[in-house]
Order: sequence, then C-alpha cells, then structure tokens
Amino acid sequence: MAGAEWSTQQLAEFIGAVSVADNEATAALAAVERAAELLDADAAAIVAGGEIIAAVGYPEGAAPVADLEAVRPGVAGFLLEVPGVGPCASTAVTLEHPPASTLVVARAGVDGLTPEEAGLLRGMARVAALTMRMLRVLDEEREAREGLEELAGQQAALRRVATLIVSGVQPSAVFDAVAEEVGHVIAAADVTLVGRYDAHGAVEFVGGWSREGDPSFVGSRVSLGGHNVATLVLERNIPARVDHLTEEATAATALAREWARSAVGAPINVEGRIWGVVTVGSMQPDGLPPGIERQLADFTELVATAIANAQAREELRTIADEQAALRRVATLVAEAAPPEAVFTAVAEEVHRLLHADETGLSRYDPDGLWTVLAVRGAMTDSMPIGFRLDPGPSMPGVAQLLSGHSVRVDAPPTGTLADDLIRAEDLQAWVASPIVLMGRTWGQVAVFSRHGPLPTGAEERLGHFTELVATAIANAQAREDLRTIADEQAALRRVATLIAAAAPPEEVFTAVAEEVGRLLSPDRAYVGRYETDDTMTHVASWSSTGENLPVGIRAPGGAGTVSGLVRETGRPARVDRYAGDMYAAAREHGIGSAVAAPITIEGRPWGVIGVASTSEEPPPTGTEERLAKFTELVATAIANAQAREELRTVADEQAALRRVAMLVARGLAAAEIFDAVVKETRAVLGVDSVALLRPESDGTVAVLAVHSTHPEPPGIPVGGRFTPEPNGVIEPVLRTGRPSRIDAPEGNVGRMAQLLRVGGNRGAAGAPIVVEGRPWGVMLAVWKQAGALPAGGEGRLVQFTELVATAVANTEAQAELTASRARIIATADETRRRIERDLHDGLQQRLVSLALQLRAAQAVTPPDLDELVGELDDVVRGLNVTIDELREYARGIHPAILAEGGLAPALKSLARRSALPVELDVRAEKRLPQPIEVAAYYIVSEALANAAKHAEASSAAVEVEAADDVLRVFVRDDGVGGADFGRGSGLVGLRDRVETLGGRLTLHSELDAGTSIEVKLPLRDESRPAPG
Amino acid sequence: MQPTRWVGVGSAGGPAEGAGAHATDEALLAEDAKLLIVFCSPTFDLPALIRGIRTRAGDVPLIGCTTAGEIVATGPRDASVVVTAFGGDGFAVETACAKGASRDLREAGATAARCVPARTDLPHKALLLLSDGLAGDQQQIVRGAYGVLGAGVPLVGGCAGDDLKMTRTFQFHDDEVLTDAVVAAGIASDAPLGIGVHHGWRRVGQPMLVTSSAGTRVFTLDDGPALDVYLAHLGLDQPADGDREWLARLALTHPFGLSRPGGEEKVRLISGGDFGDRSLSCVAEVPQGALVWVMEGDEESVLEATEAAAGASVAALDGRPPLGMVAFDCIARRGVLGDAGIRVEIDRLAALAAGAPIAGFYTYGEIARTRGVRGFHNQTLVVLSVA
Repeated sequence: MAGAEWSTQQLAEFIGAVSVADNEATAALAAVERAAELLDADAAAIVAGGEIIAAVGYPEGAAPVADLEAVRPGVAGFLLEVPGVGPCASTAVTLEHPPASTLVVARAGVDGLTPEEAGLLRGMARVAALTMRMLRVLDEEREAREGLEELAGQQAALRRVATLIVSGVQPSAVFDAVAEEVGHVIAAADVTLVGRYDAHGAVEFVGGWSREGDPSFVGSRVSLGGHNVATLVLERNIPARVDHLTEEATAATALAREWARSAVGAPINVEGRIWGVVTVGSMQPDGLPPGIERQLADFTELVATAIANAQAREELRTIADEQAALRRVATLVAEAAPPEAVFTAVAEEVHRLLHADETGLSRYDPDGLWTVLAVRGAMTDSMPIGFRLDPGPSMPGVAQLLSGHSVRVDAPPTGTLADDLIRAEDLQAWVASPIVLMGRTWGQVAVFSRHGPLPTGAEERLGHFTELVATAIANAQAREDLRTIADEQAALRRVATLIAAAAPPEEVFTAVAEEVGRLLSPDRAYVGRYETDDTMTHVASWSSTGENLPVGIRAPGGAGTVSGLVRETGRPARVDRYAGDMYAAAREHGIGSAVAAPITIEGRPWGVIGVASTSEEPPPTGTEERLAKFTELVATAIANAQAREELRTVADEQAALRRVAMLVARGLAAAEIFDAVVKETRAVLGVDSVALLRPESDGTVAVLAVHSTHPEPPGIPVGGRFTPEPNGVIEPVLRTGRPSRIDAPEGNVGRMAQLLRVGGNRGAAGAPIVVEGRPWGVMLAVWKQAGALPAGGEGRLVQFTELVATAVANTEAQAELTASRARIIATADETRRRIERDLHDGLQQRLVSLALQLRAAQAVTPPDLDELVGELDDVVRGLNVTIDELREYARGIHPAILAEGGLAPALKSLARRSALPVELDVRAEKRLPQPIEVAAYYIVSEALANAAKHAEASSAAVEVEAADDVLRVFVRDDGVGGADFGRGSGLVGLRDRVETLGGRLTLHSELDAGTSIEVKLPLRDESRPAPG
Repeated sequence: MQPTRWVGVGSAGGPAEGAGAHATDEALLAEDAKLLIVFCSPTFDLPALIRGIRTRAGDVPLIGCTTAGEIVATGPRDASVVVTAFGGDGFAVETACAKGASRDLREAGATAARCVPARTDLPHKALLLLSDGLAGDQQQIVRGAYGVLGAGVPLVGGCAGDDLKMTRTFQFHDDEVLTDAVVAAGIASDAPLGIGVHHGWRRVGQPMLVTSSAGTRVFTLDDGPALDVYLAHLGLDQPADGDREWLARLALTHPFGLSRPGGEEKVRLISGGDFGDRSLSCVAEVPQGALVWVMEGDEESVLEATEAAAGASVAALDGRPPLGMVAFDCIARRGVLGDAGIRVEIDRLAALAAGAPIAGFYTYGEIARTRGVRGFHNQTLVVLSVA
C-alpha cells in the first residue's frame, strides 16, 4: 500500500475517532490515544502552557510535563524516557488549538518518525486542533445559550424562593420550594433533597422534589457515612459529586426509592456553620453535567437565608420566651420564694419552653434514690411530688450528671428507670441538666420526649434554669443558715444575759433546755448532771409536747448511753439506735436516739446537754456542734455561780476571820474572843448553833461559849459541863485531833444521829482547837436542815478553831511574858533592897563603927600629938563623908524610906534632894502595892534626874494621884525637850517596868516645850495573872 | 533466601460446588496462595461453584470468568472448571473489579487497572484482565488501563465466553458473580512474566473502506451495506432465512483485519449481523475511514501462530523455565482448528511449557498489550508464561 493511501486511511480513522468526541477534553484524549495507536507510539500527549491537556503512555497523572514541553516542533533528535519502555524518539507538532500547545508522540527506539509519519502527525494535529477548537466554540455557544436559559430560569426560581422567604413562610415550605425549583432548573435532576445535619451523624431530609412527583423520602433520617454526597459535603463543607453511586450509597442518602446513579450536593451554611445539604440526584451514572455545583450554591445561599431568617425569628421568640421565663423564675428566686415554688415554676417553664412531654425536677438523695420535687406532664400521677424512684445502676448518663454535665439520650435507653419509663410512658428521648450546688450535683431537671430527640441546645437552655434552681436552693439554705445562726445567737445571747445577770444555775439550765428545744426542734432536750454513780440527774428538761420530765429525776448515764459516751470521750456523742440493755431502757423513756455534748467544769465532766428523738429518725447531723455552743455557756453559768458562791463564802469567812483576828490581836479577854468566834463561825457556816468546848480533867467538857440562831439555845449553857458521847462528834475530835462529822438523816440509826434528831437536828460537826500541839478544845457546829453544812464544810470550821487556838495561845503568851517581866523587875527590886540593906546593915554600920572608934582614939590621943589628932580628925571626917556617900548610893539603889514610909515620904525625900526646885503634889495617902510604889518612885526619880542632867530645866513639877484603881504619875519640866525612848535614856527601862505592871507610859517632849511623862498603872490585879 | 513462587492448576467437572472444591484442591500446591484464576463453563451453578472454591481456598483473592471452552494440559474441555493458583512470596497480587462496565468501558478499564501492587522488590508486573466481551468496545478497556498504568505494565487477558451463545457472560471477583464487569488481578513478581500474542490469519481479497461505522457497528463498506459487501467478498449470497447462527459460524472463521503500520493486522471478530439494516457487529471498534480486509486462516497457520505466541511468552522469561502457562485462545481459532486441531494446539503448548501446568480458555476476545497503546485482539492466541 502506498504511503499516501496509508496516511489517508489512518487520518480518516483518526478523524472518525476524534470527531465523535462531544467535548474538548474527550477530543484531546481521543487525539493522543489515536495518534499513539496510529503511529505505534508508546506515549503521546498534548501539552500547553505547562499543563497536560491529555496524555497516554505514562502512569496516571505522572506525565512529565516539562520533558514533554521540551520537545520542540521541527526539531529532531529528542528522546523521552517512557517508564517500562525506555528511551523513545520524540516528535512534537504545534497545535493551532489550544493556544501554545503541542502534540508530542514518543516511540520506543531512537529512530524518529518517517517523513510520512511526520506528515500524518501534522495532519492529525491539525484535525485535533480544529476539532478541539470547534468543540470549544460549540461548547461555549452551547454553554452560553444554556447558561442564559439556565440563568433566566434560575433567576426566576431564585426570585420565587426569595419572595417566599421574604413572605416569612416556614422554612419547611422554603425547603420544598427550593427542592422543586432546583429540580426544574437542573434539567438532569431526577430528584432533589434538602437535608439537615443533626448532631448525631445523621441527615434529616426536610424538603424534597422528585421528577416522579413522589418525594416520599422527605422527613426520613439517614445515618451518614460511606461514599455519598451528604457525607462528603459534611466532611469537606464544599460541594461534592459522586458520579457512580453504589446502591448502598444511594440508600444512605435516601436519594430516591430508585437507584440514583449520580448525585451532586452543596452545603448549606448558616452563620458560618454547616447546617445541611442540597442534593441533586440523577438516575444516570454521569447524569449531572459539570457546573451544577455552582447553580446549587445559589440555592443553598437562599436556603441558608431562609433558615437564618427563621432561626433568627425563632431564636428571637425563643430567647424572648426563655428570657421571660428565666426572669419570672429569677424574680421568684430574688423574692426568696420557697425553693418548692421555684421548683414548680422551673418545671412548668422548662416543660413549656422545650415542648417536653414530661418534665421532672428531682433531688439526689444520699441513699441513691431520687426524690421528685416537681413534675409536669402525664407522669404527674405516676410520679407525684415526693415520689422516690430508683434510677438503677445502669441508668445512662447518671455518672455524667453526677460529674456536673448535661446528658442527652436520644435513643430509648435501658436501665431500671428507663425500663419503667419506657414501659409505662413510652418515652423516646430525654435531656437532663444537673443542679450543681457548691460543686456537687444536688439534683437534676430532666425533660422527656415521646416523639424523637429534644431540640438541639436543650441542654444549654435547661442549664440556665438549673442554675437558677441552684441559686434558689443556695439562697434558701443561706437564709435558713442565717436564720438558724441568728436564732442560735439570740438563744445564746439570752442564756448569756441570764448568766451575766447572775441568774441561779437552775434558771440557766431551764433556759438552755428550752432554747435548745426551740432551736433544734428535738422531741426532748435536757441538761443533765453526772452523779457519782452511773446516773445522771436531769437539772432541766424540755419536751416538744410540753410534758417536761421533772427536774431532779435520775436517768441512766453509764456505758451504752449517750451521756456515758460523752463522759467517756469528753466529746459530743450520738446514739442513733439504742441497742442491747440500753434499748429497753431507752424505749422505756420513749427514746430512740440521742445526741449529747459535754459540760466540762474546770476540766472535769460535770454533765451534758442532750437532745433525744422519740422516733427512729436520729437528730440531724451537726446537732452535736450546735449543742456544744450551749455547753460552754452552761459551764460558765455553773462556774460563775460556783465562783460567786465561793467568793462570797470566802469573803464572809475572811471577814469573819478578820474580825476575830482583830479581837485576838487586840488582846481582848479570851471570853470575849470566844463569844465572837462562835458567833462569826455560826454565821459563816450557816449552821444553827456553834459552841466552844474545853475538856476538863474529869472527862467532861465545859461550854466556854455558844451562839445559836434560836433564842433559846438548846443543850448546856455557857459555863455548864457535860460528858461527850463516845463515838459522837466531840469525843473523836478530842481523841484524834481531827475534824469529825455526823449526818443524821432519817436512815441513820446511830445513837448520836438519833440524839441529834431528838434535838431536831440533822447533823453536827466538830473541829479541834489545838494549842501548841495539844488539843485545847473543840468547836462544835450543829444544824437542823439537812445539807446545811456541805460535805467538807467541817474543814472550814478548822479555820476558826485555828484562830481560837491563836487567840488562846496569844492570851497565854501575853500573860506569861508580863509575868516574866514582872518577875525580873521584882527580882531586881529585891536585889536592890537586899544590897541596900546589906550596905545599910553591913558596910555602913562597920564604917560608922570605924568612925566612932577613930573618934574614940582621937579622944584618947595626947594633945601633944596634935599632928596625929589632926590626922585622925581628917580620917574621921573623910570616913563620915564616905558613909554619907554610901548611904546616898544605897538610897539610889532602893530607897529604904520607900519601903519604910511609902511613896509620899519617899517622893518628898527625892524632891528635897533634887538639884532642881520641884513642885510636888502627891495625892496617894494609902500604901500601894510595892511594885507600884517602886515603879512610881523610879519614874519620878529618873524623870527628875533627866530634867536636871539633860533637859537644862530650871524647875520641875510632879503630880501623883491614885484614883479609880489607877495610879497616875505625871512629871513635867521646863527644859529643852526632845527626849525619846531611843536616846539611851532610862525611859525604856521605865516603860518596861510600867508595861510589866499592865500600865502605860506616855512621853511628850517637843523641842523647847519641856518634857512631860505620864504613867498610868492599874491598881486592880484581878485580870492580871498572878506572878509566879 | 529466594522468594518462592508456585503455580498450580486443577480442573474438574460434575456438580458445581464439588467441582469447584475439587479443582481448587488440585490447584493449591501449597498454603500460601496469592491468587486464584477460575475459568469455567457457564453451565455451572456459578454461585455454588464459587462457594465450593472459596470453601477450600478461603479468602485468597479470586478472579475468573465463564468461557467458551476450558483449556488444560490434557486437552480442551467443556462443562468443566479450571482453577489456576499463583502462590509463594515471590508473588504479590491485588484484585479489582469494575461493575457496570458498559456505562463507561474506558473508566472500567481504568478502575480495574488500579490494583497493581506498588512493590519495588517485585519488579516484574502485569495486569490480568477478564472482561465481558459482549459489553462493547474492549479496546476502550485497554485504553483506560493504559491511561492509568502507562507503558510500564503489560496487560494480558481475555473476554469471557458463554459457549458461543453470545447472550450473557459472567465474571467472578472473590465471592461475586457478575455480568458487565471487568475484573483484574495486578500481579507483581520477582521473576519475569512473559506475554506472547499471535493470530495466524491472512488477508483475503481486496481491502474495503469503512465508509460508515459507529464504534463496533459497521454500517457500510465501500459505500455498500456492510453485511452484503462482506458476504460478497466471501462469494456468498445471503441465506433466505437470515440465519444468525449461520452468520456467526461464518464470521468466526472470517474476521475483519485492520491494517496496522507495524505489519500484523488487527483482527476484529465479527460477532453478528443485522439482517434488517445490513450492518455488521464486531467485538471491538472498527473506525470509520479505516481499511479492512476479510481474513481467513487454516489449521497450519493457526498452529504456527500458537507456537509463535507461546514461544514468545516463554522467550520473554529471560531463559527461565515457565512455572505455568495461561492461554487466552480465541474461540474463532477453535472453529478453524476443529476438535483434532485444538488437541494438537494444546499439545504444542504443553511441549513449550515443558511440563509446567497449563490453563486457559476459549475467549471472545484477547488482551495483550506489551508495546504501544493497542492491546485488544481478536482471533488471536495470547499466552502468559509465568517464571
């Protein structure tokens, strides 16, 4: 066959293949394929401007555009490496269309095309280019025409839809309209759908159109997934196309009952978020021309606008509704309405707002059950307020709610509650939002639907209400807490005021029991005091029924009781259920459970404040702490009362003791002190009689003093004697030296007790008076009222007996001292008198004798011995002087004239001998006791000597007067004064002498005012212990 | 250690499920099968047959098709099943399937082609295609596959048959029994895969110009009604009753040949004629403007082609002995050779296979693309030798 013929035939074949192409791209592909086939090439391509228009011979998408473009038309020798073939001689020819394009063929080997083949290639290139250009023009014209028609139709369609939207119809109407318009505008469409994505991976078809007029799929929901446009659009949020839909993919998008073979979808974006999809389906595999995506986009925008409008309207209305509802609830909350009212309001508002079929507000109880607090819907009957339901372990979403998160259940769930609900109420879905209080889930508000899932966002909207509920509860609790605190504070203040007002503890106890009763609303409240046995005395009690237990009754307070527990631990305690022995005891008292807090005084358990419940329900938690606030007050009251009492007692006692001590110190006569002591002791101890007894050597006791409240003191009068009962009160005191006591209640059959009772007495106590380690006497207290002297009160008796002992000891010591000093002075006086007598009778007499003998010798001395006579005369004269001096000396030691003539002559002699002129006035004619006379003599003697020697006085006066059993001696001078006892004068010795005699010396010696000394000496000696 | 490779072939007849199981048992030489290729008669209960095979082979990738006669080393068969197994680490196989191929044969070819394992360690690759020969222009399938794979991966395979009923063929992919489908196995091997193709037809008389055609339909030749011009070239008159079977038998041994620049004609099987509009139908495109000849062959030329094709496939193994041989033999050749002839043909194949197992079937069209774009053949023997 000739080359030309061959080429013609090949070219004809090429033209035939290329000319059937109906668009430019197909023509290009046909051109390269046929060129390769006809030239037996391994690869061929049309490249233009860096792009592959069509290529064969390379793996898909891997044609080397740069290499291919490098092959230049009209230039031989290019080799291209074709994978799987190797080097291929390559030839390029220019194409007239597309612009700047070349057709390149590459054939294995290094030999280029023959001229004939090259010619064929050029021919094919020309055909291809012409065909492509023609198709382009046709395409463009067709597109333009179709575009215009489409545009007109589409614009009209869009306008109609827009008009609908503006008229504000429901979105569903817009969806159907859009579906229909799209169906009309897109000629290839067999079915159109408007779908809305939900949050659960499904698409709901809300509008649709079918060429067959049966869009029965509208309203259906289909799960997403797989290779279909609805899924692809959602995944990418751009238009998607699937040209060869599988049956499953078709079913997955519910495109039609029939098998749509291809589909295009475009996203509907509302407010920046993908809302849904408009889908067009065709029954043909490639039924949907390119560009549909763009057309769809115009409609999706309209749909979006319609939705946005509707949503805006709906949202506005919803928001307005919701805001109004929230405001109503918030107002309730702000008005401090009871939580129950808020619960009801919330249930109602939520029920209405969310179009719920059932709505419930429930509280999570600690036992795992839920208590219905508010309910709306048909379940009002089956689950009334207060109904307690068990959510069961597998209740879906409970854990989520407990962790504070909302729950949405769109499918009928399983679980105890769920089963019940489904069976009874046919509930399909619900949304619940937790009521979170202080970080803890307190309860929930739940809305239920019988008709598919609740609206999107229901969780958030519920959340707004649950927050209000939480606030209402918190407020109510806060108010309740506040009121409780205020009540408590008021109660505590009232009690504290009572205490401050020094109310008696009994009154405080009663007040506390009442306040606790009012505050804590128990069945019973009480204040109990521990007794030494395992019992507790009710010192105050309160009952909710008003039937208070009598004060003073004893109740068990040992192990197993709440009081026992408190006592054991020192802390508040509770017994929620009495058990064992205590159960019966508690039941007997009608008590089921109790809480008590300790009253501790000075670190020791004193008693309890308790509340008791007569029912099985124990007092609420926190009762312990609230009770404890009162226990301190009670303790304070008791301590205060005790302190006051003690203080008063101590003060009284101290006062009494001081008074007695004063008496003792004043050195009053023992009898006076004794009288005072018994009187004070009785008053301080608050007993009926107190007596001071002194044992006598004959085994009796003498009554030294007695004081009694009764005008007629019983028993033996002062001065009387009696024999104490053995083993009574007095005898043991004397025997043991320790206090003794006998209480004589009716039950005491002891003899002494009986004796006491005979006297109308109920008790007696005695304490020893111990002087210098020896029992000196007994102080006895007797009382008629039981308990008048508390246990241990006899110890206080001792304080007085000690004082008595001191008084006794003082009196005795004083007497002894005075006696001792008197003895000393008397001894000194006697010694002086003996010396004076000795001097007078001995030395003086011998000197006188000696002088007489000398005179005798002188007389016999010869006169010639004049010198000797003179000397003798001198000796005798000297001897007489010595005798005179001795006499004078002896007189100073003890004036003999005092002993011989008494005070008056002695004083006259003294005045005569004084170096000063002395005015003497003595009015004491009778002889006075010797110590008095001696004392008076020495006082005047010393005073005159001082006046002469130290006072530089010019004269002195002496007055002595004995009257009213007192000798008064007064000596006065006109000297310089300034004398005192500390100046080494003889004044100290004078005072000692005066005091020894029970007298008193007073010195007045102002400077330049002279000195006067006054001495008073008692002349009566009855109270003065006899010396010796 | 060298990766292992093995090829096993089993065949059986009888009830479908048992036959499938039996043939599979025979083919599975070892446990590490990578691919099963099933050729069977359309007379079987096909789902049961596949079930029988899968019962034994588990989920080993499977492709296959119905035939117009099966080929094994022992000879041609009818109403049987032939199972070929490729196994061992030296092979890597993926399969693909394009359903509804007639909607877009080119796209179906492309879809089927996207299964060649990207294994650089197994450098030798081929795509085995089995298609529905009644579904339209099979060259479009080749173009689609070539567009995806390029020149680097040879294509081999054939069109399914239905014992010459020319009504409906079936393709198999794993558990599925399909019609109007392209099934494919992308094979990667560490040893060469040799493909040979030859027909052995020769031109008869003068060429004719295709003056009017559309796709596989030829309306006029030399401006005359195609059927009449064709029959006239063969010196035959139209039978009075317009017997289609007569025409089919005649066309089987007298295909069109399209001239090619490279030398060997592209043979186009004529699948039938329309006595009404006097057109002819071919199993592949006969482009308008092309020159065609009526072709004919005799036993000798056909058998020479057999040796040429099989020899070329073995020669492509770089001197390695074949592990197995898969033949795609045009049903027309069977018509030319007759029963005795095809026995001889298979003996010659067996001789070249040198003891390696042989499997194959009589096809309605053959695919062999080793060079260039063209790859669909008629009246041809295509042999795949596996080393």
